[in-house]
Amino acid sequence: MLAELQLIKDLQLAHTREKAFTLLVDTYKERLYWHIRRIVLQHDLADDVLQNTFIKVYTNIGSFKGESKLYSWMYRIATNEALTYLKTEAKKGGYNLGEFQVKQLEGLQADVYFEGDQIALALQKAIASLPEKQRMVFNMRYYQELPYEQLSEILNTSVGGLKASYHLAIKKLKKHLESH
Amino acid sequence: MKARKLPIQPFKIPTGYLEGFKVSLPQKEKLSARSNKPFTTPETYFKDFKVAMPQTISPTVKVVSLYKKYSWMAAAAVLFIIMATTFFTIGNFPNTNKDPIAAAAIDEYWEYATDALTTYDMAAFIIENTTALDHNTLASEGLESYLESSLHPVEVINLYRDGNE
Repeated sequence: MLAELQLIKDLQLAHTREKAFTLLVDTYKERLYWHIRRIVLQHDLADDVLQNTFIKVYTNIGSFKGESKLYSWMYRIATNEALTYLKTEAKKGGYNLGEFQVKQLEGLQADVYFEGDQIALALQKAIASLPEKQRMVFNMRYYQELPYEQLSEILNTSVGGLKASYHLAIKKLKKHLESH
Repeated sequence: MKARKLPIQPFKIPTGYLEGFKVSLPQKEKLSARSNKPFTTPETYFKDFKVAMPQTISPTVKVVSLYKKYSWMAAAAVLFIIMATTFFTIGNFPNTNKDPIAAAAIDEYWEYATDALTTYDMAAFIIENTTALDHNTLASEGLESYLESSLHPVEVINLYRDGNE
């Protein structure tokens, strides 16, 4: 916690900012990338969103009040950026979000950065069929093993609500996989 | 004085443990084993990753809101201007001949505002409302007669027992 406070302080001061930002990027790039990648699915899109996320972090660090952990704050930015990016891309192509995601899933088989078999692909399709919030909760809880307390900070939802969402998501996934 | 006997320490530590003790600070948060599966990235993606910061970008600086700080002053200034303008305008109104078109427009407005209701309009208004009043009166009369017939007659109390009125 002390290290995080120091990092925030360094990020907010002009003469220490660049060094602190390099440290920040180096520390969190991987975790944020995988969080984003689970939402946007394709590497190129994830790379764009990760760039945008760090730029947003850099430009808004002055207004970070420390009401949540820095990490949770960055996760929130990354989530918003990823969802906004998806919606914008869908709109550009003349699709709604659902149609765009189906198109992306179809493209996964040919994606060189996807190593899943048929079962993995079926699971990704099942995850994509979940409502947005349940999908987020499932990805962050199952794949990234984030504690509910941190999820609560990121998604601004109660721990009880998150547990219910996760439970529902698992049930829906099972049902989806059984019927497909 | 008798020397105090120290209690036997039941715990032991490995030989050389304290000499070799070092704090190992975690450099990066560990990723979960399934965080990336089944997705992959280009081989050196994370090693090469750099944020391509746009040239014009700069972090937000804490800005003291002038609006908040001086809002009461601005409000006071606006109020003063309105009051001063109103006072001088009203005070000079009869002599304002600088813009005859504007003055004519104002006169026209006042004529409209006061004369918009013609005698006919007023008469129509009165008749309509009188009719409404009549209805009410009828209703009141009906109600009175109903009350008279339905309620038990109340004995008139003679306040003047001696018959002196």
